[in-house]
Amino acid sequence: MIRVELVKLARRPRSWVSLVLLCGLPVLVAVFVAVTHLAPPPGQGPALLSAVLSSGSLYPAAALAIVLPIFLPVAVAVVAGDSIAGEAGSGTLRYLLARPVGRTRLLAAKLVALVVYTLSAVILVAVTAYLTGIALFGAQPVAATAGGLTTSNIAATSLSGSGLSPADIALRTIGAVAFIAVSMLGVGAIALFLSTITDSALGAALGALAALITSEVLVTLNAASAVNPYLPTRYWLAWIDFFRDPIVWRNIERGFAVQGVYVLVFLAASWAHFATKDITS
Amino acid sequence: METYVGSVSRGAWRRWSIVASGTALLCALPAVIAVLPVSASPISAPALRARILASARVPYQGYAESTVNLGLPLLPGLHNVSLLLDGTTDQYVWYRSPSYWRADDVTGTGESDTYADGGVTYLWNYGTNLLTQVTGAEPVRLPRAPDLLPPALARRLLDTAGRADRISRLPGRRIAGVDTAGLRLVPAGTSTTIGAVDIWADPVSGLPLEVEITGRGTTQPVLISTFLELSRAQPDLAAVIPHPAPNVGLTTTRLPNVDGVLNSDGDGDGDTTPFPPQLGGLRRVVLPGSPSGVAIYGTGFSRFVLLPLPRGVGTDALNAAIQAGAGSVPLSGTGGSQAGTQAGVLIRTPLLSVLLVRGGFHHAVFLFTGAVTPALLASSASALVTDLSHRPRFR
Amino acid sequence: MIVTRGLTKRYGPLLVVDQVDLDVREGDRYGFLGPNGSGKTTVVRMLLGLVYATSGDITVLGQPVPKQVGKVLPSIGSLVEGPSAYGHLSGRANLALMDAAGKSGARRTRRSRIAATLDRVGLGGIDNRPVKRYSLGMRQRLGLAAALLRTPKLLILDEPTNGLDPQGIREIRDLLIELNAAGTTVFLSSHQLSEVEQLCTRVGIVDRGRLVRQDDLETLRALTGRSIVRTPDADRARELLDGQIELAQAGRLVIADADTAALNSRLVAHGVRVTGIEAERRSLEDVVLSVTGSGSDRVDVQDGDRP
Repeated sequence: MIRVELVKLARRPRSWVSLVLLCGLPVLVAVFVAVTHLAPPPGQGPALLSAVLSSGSLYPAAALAIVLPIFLPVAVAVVAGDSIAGEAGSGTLRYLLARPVGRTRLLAAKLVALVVYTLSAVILVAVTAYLTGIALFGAQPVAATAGGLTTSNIAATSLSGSGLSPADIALRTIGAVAFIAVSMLGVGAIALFLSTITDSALGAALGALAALITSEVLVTLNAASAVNPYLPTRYWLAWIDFFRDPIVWRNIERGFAVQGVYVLVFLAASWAHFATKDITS
Repeated sequence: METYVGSVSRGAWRRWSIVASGTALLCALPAVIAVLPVSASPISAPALRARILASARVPYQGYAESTVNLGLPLLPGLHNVSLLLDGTTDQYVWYRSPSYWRADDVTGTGESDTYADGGVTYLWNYGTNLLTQVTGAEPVRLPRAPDLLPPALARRLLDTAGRADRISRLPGRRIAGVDTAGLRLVPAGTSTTIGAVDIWADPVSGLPLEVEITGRGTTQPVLISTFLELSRAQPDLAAVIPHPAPNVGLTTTRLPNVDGVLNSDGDGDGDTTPFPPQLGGLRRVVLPGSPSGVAIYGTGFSRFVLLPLPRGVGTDALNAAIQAGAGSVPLSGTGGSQAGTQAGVLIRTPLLSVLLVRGGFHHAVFLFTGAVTPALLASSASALVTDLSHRPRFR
Repeated sequence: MIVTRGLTKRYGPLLVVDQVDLDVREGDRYGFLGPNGSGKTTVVRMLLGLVYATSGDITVLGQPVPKQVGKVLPSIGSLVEGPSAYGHLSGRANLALMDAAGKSGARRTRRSRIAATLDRVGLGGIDNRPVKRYSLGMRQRLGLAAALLRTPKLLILDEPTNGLDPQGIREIRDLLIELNAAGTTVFLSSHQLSEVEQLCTRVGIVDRGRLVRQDDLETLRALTGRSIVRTPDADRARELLDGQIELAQAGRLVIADADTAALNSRLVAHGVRVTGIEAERRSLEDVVLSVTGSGSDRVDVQDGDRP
């Protein structure tokens, strides 16, 4: 069943269009920045974008920062929201279940497909951004040859001002990719749950995005500080901590834990609801 | 015979109860941990106070969050301070010893770090890609993020307290996994706006883990600074000294240039401002090595700072304060022909009062600030203006 | 094959299926007949474990449903409320996905099985166009193909001839009869009298959620004890059979006499030309109308509602 879901995902034109758009935005930004040499001032605009002018090897992280706030959650929410509600809407859900495909198994297969999609989206963005970054900005910092220091293995500057070797950057980028993928799974789980409730794929995706926007509003609200640590987007930006030196793990760990709880709770709720739902679509 | 209908609805019920109880368990976990009884320490208030004051050599590393809600308007030249005193500051800190530590003020897109490396202070700012070495003593400077760290803040506050200020014990709290003992400090004087300073510290090592400052007559703390995560492991020396990358800009500067508004020569015209020895009933305190452009009056919590602002900054600050809705206070006792023209602009916050007044031969702008009552600042400003008007040759 | 006892489904206050006792026997071509909105589809969904009953029991192929529905579904082919497919994929790809989902046959034989099934429903020569460009009839055939993919023991079909032209309807009917002859029990839910009448051996009539009649078609269409005579000499026949004629219209006489042979010889003996004579049977329509009210899509003003 997992293979069936993966085939469906892969043969869906929409999956590819969304991936191309996701990878296209950072490329577009990179081209503009490379042509004009106008990066936003450090500390403003997307994180790390200011640093890429001096080193392209940080561009995967900057690209993730560009797609993280809207593009990525929208893409994941649409795919996740489509998983059950889409089948219900097209009328294929009843035939799948009558095949028979166990309801729990169908849900599990959908989840696996969602994880695969999310991971490939994040990894593809990172890979295209790496290629774009190296091609447009080069791998070495511009001022790397200054001073009498051995600079051959320093490819970029961390947020804390220290130098990072290419291997360092690779490991940290992998960490950030994993963190962002897990963060997206939280959204995915919410959309998946809504997808079992409604027969409208669009409704499920929009519902999940509404939950995200609510969370993002509450995160910035001092008055809501009591619930702040439990909001799904609270630790979304913690991936940047991978680019501090030393890596500070506290928020990263919390981020993983919070997303884990959201995924667990909403998957369990999806399962509880879907397993005994009347399929009337 | 069991009917399947029963089994379906029972199955649904069972599923939902598993999900609901699991969710409830996960949600309740933090709350349960929070209400676990904290072991009470029998330590007395003076002993705890002494232990806190002696805790400067206790190494630690952790993550602290400081939230200040003063409602100060953004004043030009004091931008960084305004941000620090309004909002939440997140810091990672590695503290090895009083002279070797590092604190990273982190934001979503960058960080500004402070390193104490022996006798030298380094400031790293990701935004400017600049590592600044600060030379010279800095007895008087604008507040920086590390000043908000619970240990530094608690020791500074206890240091400031005098004999008359009352201390008492508070019930303990569990902070970052440590069972702490609480200490309350109530300033004695009537001129300070600080109602109470509450400190929670590890009763064994004396390391302060949380500080809350409450304004006089209010119950909601204006400042809360607390550790969210703490380890007592001593950080390596390598972790607390800067390792700048080759393309990082390096610069060396004296402190006043860092803080901008604290220029050493008064209003920026090369004047040597003779500050009055006494204002508002408080005596001027001279700290060795402090810049000549700043004066401190009073002791303990009844203390304020007088700062003549550089000309451009002063006018901007005055306008910003007025635009932010600061009230005007008439300054009494100025006398003479200038009586009608003298009024101060006052920013009131639950803790900090800021008063700006124009005065003197050059119509320079003077900034009074401190955790003191507006009345004290107003009477001090009146005294200063009177003093200046009696000395028309004041340069 | 299918036995339900007191099957009831409520959606909130709405009673959709009310105490239905179905009995479909092996080898039946069962026609589940009722107007639109009478709860047929809900019953079909409950048989397939898609919708859970409020009360009552279902046994399909000897197994309790939905408890053991996973065991019986592999032996059932179904078409519920019209066919569905992934519109962006070809018919073959759709069948391949459907076959791969659930307990499928061997992967190696998938291609040939799909080809054979498509052949069977008359789509053997279909190209690779996506299903969204199929006509309604083609989709219907594809849906049937999906139902037949695993040579089921039981076919549960909900309005299978929707959207087909008369030729297609005939083809499908022949296919179903052929499958039935080969041992497949067919459960066909329909609102079309003629379809049921022409295909089924056994009929259940449902009205507003209740099963109002369930019997063999032959039993339902019992002789009425009357004969129908067609004759150009109606007046003479009338004289001859005075008192027995119940209805006479334009050369067609309804006569209260069940013995057509005797009647025929008697008429002919008296010189009445007979162009046609047959024993009258009840039409399925008569049966349905006699046991059901108006369809639930008709909403009349209730007496109490009138001002």
